[in-house]
Amino acid sequence: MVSYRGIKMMWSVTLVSENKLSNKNKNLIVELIDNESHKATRKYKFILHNILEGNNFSEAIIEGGECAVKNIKDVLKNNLNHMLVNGNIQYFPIFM
Amino acid sequence: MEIFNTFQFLCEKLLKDGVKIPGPKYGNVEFDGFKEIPWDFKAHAINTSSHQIIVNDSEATAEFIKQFGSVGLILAGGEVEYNDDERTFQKWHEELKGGKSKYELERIKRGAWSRLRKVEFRLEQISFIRIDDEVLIKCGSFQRDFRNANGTPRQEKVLLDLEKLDEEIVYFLDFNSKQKN
Repeated sequence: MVSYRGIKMMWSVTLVSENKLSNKNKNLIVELIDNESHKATRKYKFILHNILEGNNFSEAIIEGGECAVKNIKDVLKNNLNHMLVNGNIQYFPIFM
Repeated sequence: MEIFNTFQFLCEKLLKDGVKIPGPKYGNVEFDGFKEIPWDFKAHAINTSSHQIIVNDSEATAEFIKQFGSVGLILAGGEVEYNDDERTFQKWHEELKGGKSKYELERIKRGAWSRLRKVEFRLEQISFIRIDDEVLIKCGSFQRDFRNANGTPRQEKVLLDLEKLDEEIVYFLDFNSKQKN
């Protein structure tokens, strides 16, 4: 991934479950993302732009460095495996 | 979401004379403060269906419990208000960060919806919670294996269920009852 000085990248971190995600589980996902975002804000100039949701997915739109985004993906994966029966978590850059 | 950062900012500002801020670090994980034991500062919405809160990294928490006997949590509880129907705050927030990207607009067009923003937090209580091994076991957060099979850290978090806590809450401030008296 090429990063340019002064230009921050936009990323999508998406958790997709095979089953419908309950509100309780979606709240937990947001709590985890919020918790990690808060820690990364100062260090990685990291901004959580939005959280998009559907019946079976939650997607965080994030601006910042790839290491912070990868960290969020790992945290979600390590804490939410019980929700991910045949589901997955991925992150990718958004080209604007 | 940004509202909850405000409580941490207030804690850092008001407690800095008596509490060492930031607290100790274990690997990349840092606690918010230190006064006899490591402390974290958190805010929690009490008007939600879930009363589970994420505290800190499991491995770091277990290590500091081993070193200091326990770790602490200063938890602000309050009622949260979300966007109005017009999403006025959300529109202002969008403008501030340069508007929705083409990608977001396309996702919304395909059926995704944007989560409501928290716009107000009315502080009702502050709890001081002591977390030790027993609490971790009680809340099902105790991890025996902190590493993945390939040796990388698991980054699991301590998840506290507030409904299961009782004597662990060592001090409690209720602003609601003070207002009523």
